[in-house]
Order: sequence, then C-alpha cells, then structure tokens
Amino acid sequence: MRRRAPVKAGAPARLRPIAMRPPTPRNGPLPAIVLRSAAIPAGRLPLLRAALLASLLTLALAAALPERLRAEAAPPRITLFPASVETGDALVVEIDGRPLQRAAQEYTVSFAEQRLALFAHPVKGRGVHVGLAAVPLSAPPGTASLTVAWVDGGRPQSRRIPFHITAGAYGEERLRVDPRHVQPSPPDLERIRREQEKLKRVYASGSPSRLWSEGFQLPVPGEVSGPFGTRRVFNGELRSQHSGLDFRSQTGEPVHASGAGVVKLAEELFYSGNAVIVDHGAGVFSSYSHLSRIQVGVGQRVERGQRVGLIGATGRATGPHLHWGVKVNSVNVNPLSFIRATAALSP
Amino acid sequence: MKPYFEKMSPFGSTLPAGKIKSGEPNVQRIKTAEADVDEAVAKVKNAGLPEKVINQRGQLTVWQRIAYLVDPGTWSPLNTLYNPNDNVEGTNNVCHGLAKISGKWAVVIGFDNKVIAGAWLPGQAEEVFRATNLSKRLNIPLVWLVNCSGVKLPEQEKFYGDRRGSGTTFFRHAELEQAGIPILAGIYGTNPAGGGYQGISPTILFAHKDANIAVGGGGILSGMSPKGFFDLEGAEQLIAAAKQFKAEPPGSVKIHHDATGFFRYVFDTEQGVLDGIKDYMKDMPAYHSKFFRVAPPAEPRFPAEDIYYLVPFNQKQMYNFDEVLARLVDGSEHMEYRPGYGPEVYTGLVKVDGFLLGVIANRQGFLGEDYPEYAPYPGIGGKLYRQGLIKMNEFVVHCGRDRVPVVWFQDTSGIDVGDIAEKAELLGLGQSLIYSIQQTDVPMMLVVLRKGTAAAHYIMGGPTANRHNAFTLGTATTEIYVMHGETAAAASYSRRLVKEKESGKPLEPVIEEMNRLVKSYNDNSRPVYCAQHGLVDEVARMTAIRDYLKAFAGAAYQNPRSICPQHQMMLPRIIKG
Repeated sequence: MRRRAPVKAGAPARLRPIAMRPPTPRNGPLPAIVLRSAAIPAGRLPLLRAALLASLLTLALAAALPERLRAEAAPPRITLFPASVETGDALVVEIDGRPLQRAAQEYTVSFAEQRLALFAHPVKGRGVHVGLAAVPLSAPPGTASLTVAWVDGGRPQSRRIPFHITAGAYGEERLRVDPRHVQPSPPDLERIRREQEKLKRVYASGSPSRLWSEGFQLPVPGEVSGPFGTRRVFNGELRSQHSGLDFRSQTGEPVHASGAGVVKLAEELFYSGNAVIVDHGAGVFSSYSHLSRIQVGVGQRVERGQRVGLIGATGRATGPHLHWGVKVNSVNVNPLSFIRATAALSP
Repeated sequence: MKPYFEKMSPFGSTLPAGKIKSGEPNVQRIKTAEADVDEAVAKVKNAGLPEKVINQRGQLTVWQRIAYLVDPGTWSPLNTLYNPNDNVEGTNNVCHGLAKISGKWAVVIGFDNKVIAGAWLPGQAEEVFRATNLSKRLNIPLVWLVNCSGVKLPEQEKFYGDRRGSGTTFFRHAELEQAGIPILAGIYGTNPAGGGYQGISPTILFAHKDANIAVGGGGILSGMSPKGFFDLEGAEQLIAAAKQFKAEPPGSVKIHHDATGFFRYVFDTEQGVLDGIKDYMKDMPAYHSKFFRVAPPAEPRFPAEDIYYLVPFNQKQMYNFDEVLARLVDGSEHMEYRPGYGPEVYTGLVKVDGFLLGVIANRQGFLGEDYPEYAPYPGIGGKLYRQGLIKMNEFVVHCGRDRVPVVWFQDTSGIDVGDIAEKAELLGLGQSLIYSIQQTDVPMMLVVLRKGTAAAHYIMGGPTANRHNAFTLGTATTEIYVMHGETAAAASYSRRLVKEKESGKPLEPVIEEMNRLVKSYNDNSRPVYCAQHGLVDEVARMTAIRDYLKAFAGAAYQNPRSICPQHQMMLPRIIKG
C-alpha cells in the first residue's frame, strides 16, 4: 500500500471532486448523490478526510443495496410547462423518473379537483411520464401548487410543486338587454338541463389512455373572431365567460378534428347547435359547435385533420362561425394554449 | 427598358413532396402562432360596446365605416395591437392602415367609437404620429374618421402634454398640408376640445348631420365657475346645465355649416359621409399606375402557402431565403445585384404588382470555409460581414439614385464581432449603411421575417430609420431583441458566476436568475409583444406579406416627390454589366 505524502500547511490543496451527502430529510427518500468540485483550505483537511471516508462508506453501502432499493431512493424530477401560467391555460406536468423507470401507475398527480391521467412521454421514452392539468378561468391569481405522490419502499412520498398563476387579459362584453331575451322559455330550460346532464356524462366517459400521437392542430384556417375567456356581462351581471375560440368562416367550409380520438357526441344541442365532441383520451376533449352539418357518428375513431362537419350558424349563433372548445379534466382551457403546451409531446 | 424589366431571371423551385410531408409540424406551429395574433386582434376589435349596441343607436362602428369606405381587398391594417401602456380598455382607441379609396391609396385612420365614444387614451398620440408619418413618407392623402369625445380625463396626465402628446397631431396636420398632402375628414358624433381640433385641423370636413366640433364641450361648459368645491346646490346647477348642453351641444351643424362654413358638406346618413369622401378621393393627386409600372402585374409562380414550409419556426434551423422571395414577387423573377459577392446578403430588383422594388435580405446557412475572407473562422448566414455591408451600401445608394423604393427582410443575428471584425471595419461600414440610407430619400419598408437583432436591426432599414421606414411588418416567426436571451444571460452573469464559484457559494441561485432573464427575453420578443409595443407595425400572416408589398409599392409610386426616368436608371445596367 502506498502512503500518501503529507500535505504541507499553507500550501494550496488540490483535490479531486468529492462525493458529498446532503442531510437526509426525516421520513424522506434517500438523497441523490451530488457531485461537487471545490478548492478546500489545507487547515480543514483532517475534518475533510473524515467526511471523505464517511462519503465513501455511504457510496459503498449504496452500491451494496439491492437494485430495487436503490431505485426507490431517487425522487423524480418534475417539470411544469409553460413556466408562467395564466388562468385558462393548459399545463403539462412532466415526471422524469429515469433511470428508475417507475411505471406511470406508481405516481399520482393532483391539482385542485383534478387527478391527472399520466402517459409515457411520446418523445423522451420510458421512465418519463406526462399529465395534463387545466388552470380554470376562475382560478385566483397567485401561487398555486400541484402534488405528485408516489410510494418508496412501502412509504408514501409526495412533493408539492408550487407555480404562479397570473390573471389572463380577457376582455369584457357589456350588454343591457331586456331580461326576457336572455331567459329561455320553460321548455327550453328543461331541454338545456337534460343536455347539461348528458354533457356531464360524456365528459366523464373519456378514455384514461392517450388516443392521439401527433400534436394538435387548428380545426379551420379561418380568422379568430371571438377570443377565449371574454366575460359576458348582461345587465351588470357576469353571465358567462367564452369557453372556446370562435373562427369566422363561410357556411359549408370543412371543420377538421384537431387531434385523433373517438367521437363521443354528434347531435344538435340548444346552445351549441349541431355539435361534435371528440374524446382524445387522458382527460382531453375537443368540441366543434354551430355546424351546418355533422359528418361523423358517435363511437367513430377520427384522425387528426379528418373532417367532422361543416361550418354553420346553428344553435345560439349570430352568423356562420366555428366555436372550438378544448376541455382538460373537464375544465375549459384556451385551445391555443393547449396546442402550444402539447406541441413538445409530438414525436 | 423592356429588355430589362418585362422578363427578368426566373428563380425558385417547386416544393419537393418530402418537404411538404416533413414540414407539416412547422406549418402547424406557425399557424398556431398566427392564431395567437388573431386572438389578440379580436380582443382589440371587440373592445368596448358591442357592434349591435352601436348600430341600435343608429351609428356604424369604426370598423364598419372603414369596411364601407375602402376598396374591397385593399385594407392593410397597421398598429392594430399597438397599446404600449396596456390600457384597461384593451386599445389605444384609434385604428389605421393603408387602403385604396376610389382606386387611390390613402392612409385611413379612425377613432374607435365603441370605446368611451372615441376618447383620447394613452398610446394613441404615437399611433397617430405614425399614421401622419406614413402619409408624409408615401406622399398620399390622409383620411380621418373623426369621432372623438376628447381626453379620458382621469388619465390626462399620461398623454395631454409633452412633445409628442396628443396635440402634436394638429401640428402634424398643418405640416402635411404645407407639404401639399390633403387630409379629408369624415366627422361623426360629439367632438369637444381635443376632439374639436381633431375635427377642424384636416383640409376638407365632411360632417354627419348630428356631428359637432367645439373648443369646449357641454361637459366643460356645465362645470364653469366652480366655487372651489362641490355642494348640493352646485350639483343641481350642473345637472340642469348638462341637460341643456346634451340637448344642444356646442358647435353643431347649425353653427359650423350654416354660420362658419367649417363643415364643407353635411350628410344625413353615416354612409353619405363616406360616399362624400369616396367621391373626393377620385380627384386626389395621383399618377396612373401605367406611368411607373415596368411590366404588367403578375402573380408569383409558386403559392404563398409554401412559405409556411420554407421558414422554420425553430430559429436555429436554416432555410433558403431566395425560395421565400420567389413566393412574393411577380412571376418569381428578379435581377440579382452582385450575386457572387457578400453571400450572406441578398440584393436585387424585383417587381411587385408591376412596380420595380429593390430587395435587401439576410441569407441563412453555412457560407463556406473561405468566407469571410478576412477571418480564419467560417461565416454563417444571418450575420453580416464586410462584403455584405459593402454590397448593401452600394445597392441602397443605387436605389436612391434610380428612385426605387426598398424592401428589407431581416433575419439577422447581428454583425460579426471581435478584433478581426473591427480591423475589417465593420463598425464603420455599419454606420456607413446608415448614412447611405439617410441620403437616399426613397420610401422603405421592413419585414422582420424572423430575428431582428443587435445593430443589424437598426442598419438594415429598421424603424429607427425614421424618415425612410414607412412601416415594419412582423410575422408569426418574428423575434426582436438586442441579443438572444441566452447571450444576454451569459453576458450579464458570467462575472458573477466566477465570483460565486471562487467563494464556494452554490451556483443554483445565479443559474435561476439567468434562466429568468432568458425567459423574460423570450416573452418580450414574441410577435404579439412586438406589435403591442410598436416594435413592428403589424403582424401579418405569411400569405398576407405580398398584400403589404403591393400596398407599399402602389402607395410609394402613386405620387412620388421625384422621378427617375426608366431609361435613365443605372441599377439594371450595372446588374447586366
């Protein structure tokens, strides 16, 4: 065995990078090993030697652990996209558990009332899981958080991921109208109630698996005439917020599915007129309203870009246009924010 | 000069099938970004009272007035999103653009009568300034649709005073009139105080029967002689006075048509006012297009939709600019100036709607191991080197001599830097280009196709060329910043990183700040941000760029202040050799 030459006091120490172990949190997972490179004053060397020995011991112990146990030791890396979020935005949650390759089922991700459906990242491959969340229009601006939970060696673990929500800049439409004109008749109210029940069932019946592979696209090439989120104030009372995007177009122009999925509804509704709702899986639905013609049927599989109907002015519409909506976990999101957020999930 | 212009060299090629297939995600990304812009525009257009409410009052909205006034298909809006103060109203309350009226180009500008009856708001004066500048640069009439309730009083301190405050408009009107540029004004509604001067300062006034213009409106008159405070008695007096002046506002048609004659014409209907302007526009000074056209107008040989496949959304990917240009110009033909010299820059003559234009643009991609000739490192397109700067200087000077308007296309990461570049005189050549532009006195427009960066954004016909740049167009792929966010973060924090490292402190907090800066650069360089803050004057769809080129060319050649006879032009001969 070679003996190390003694270090002269006052001489600058030249050490290799060493393995340091940060303190272990109580009830927490074993910490990740962090490599740090540092120039250390010579006077502190005896202490450091001890630390080095302890670290080496830790490493040796870690190496001796069974594969499964070591896998459990590393917490996943969690990323949110986009980094700054507005009310009405869709949010992508990425859980990178590599190289441990935990299955998606081993994680639970929740945000407010939403429990996210996770799926394997289409680009980054095994061990990276993705879920989609929605920031409701009504969400209060400020700090919010979502929670990621998993189990390590039989012990439940969780992390709160804070993020900041800013209020979206949505316009307002103020109208003073005769109340009789905004109040549907009793038979209409009954119909609206029935349809709302049905829509609830439709949105609750989505596939937990992702049904699309390529990214989402705009359903028509027309000009956006009605922004998402516009507040509609009738006689001083906030009645609704625009739940999708309106595209101005000509009657009869084709409307395309914005992504692949399965048609869950294709019928005439009181407000939406001829409407098509497509389930894209993993909590995502898109809807196409005021169509002059519906060209798909319930249960039919549609591909991205496939025609689902023709532009029209059916239902509560003042002229031919498409109302395009996207729901994530039953919450309306700005469809453009959804496309942007999911763009990186395309191979 | 037929041999030069009627048939120029064809360029460009059909998109390969593979490019169409692989380019689809790029198309979708650009179109989604365009929809973002559309959504922002829709918010501006929907600001204030709904159209239905205005129509129920017997009025048209400003957008309806413009639609009725202009020749179909010619409206080229500018500064639609311009709202640098982020007003709660969602608009600065004027909208303007280039359009033809009765076959002649004009700058059209109107108050948004849906929002506080067309009040002055923060940011508005600057847009009006741009509109009057445009009219001056292109020497074409300015057409106003006045409907202005005056200052938004609770925010007057933001725009009433100052060198470029709202009153600047009236001096600018006088300046245009001195220069022989007519200003026609359709006048609607109540226009007190500032609104009154908006009404009186144009050249010919076409009034609606219910319109009025006045030094002070009913609101001011009602509030004269205050006691220094308000009490119930004072409030009752105000109520009585306000009722009277609402019924009979000062400066009505009875006064300003029948007595003063300021209103040259009065019309019973809103459309009548616009018809009056249309009729007058027929007599505005303008050459017939045949006077300046060098060939009959022709469409490009390749569809504009191809541009979505050609221009990568990813700023780090390269493309062939010449292919883009071939989708924008008549017959996809050109005469390239010095093609073998300064390969990072395209310079050449093209036709748009039959009019001759000079084009200067950045080219992308690897320029070869031997270029730039003065440096041991290879050149990359988007950056400017010695030859490219010299070539642009020459071309601009020739365009000035031949009176050829210039269109710039920017996608630039800046000018070559370092001591080698300094020795190659790039700093001096950049400023020389500014001097070359300044002495041309021909109208210019800029398209920021992707990046507008560093000093290159200034010297390549940027909006800072105040007297030359008529307007700047952005696209869904536009980014404007002094340098890339990552470069800025590295420049701002590299010393601090060294310091933290040397003192053994963790680097993560600094890295976090660096990433925040990168994100802020990204957020504040998006097309919508650029348009809201006036860095570009409009964000156009890829398929609409040619419409703006046509508007620019048609307007620039409508009534130019100087002429170079086609047979005395030098540039085509220099190109031919």
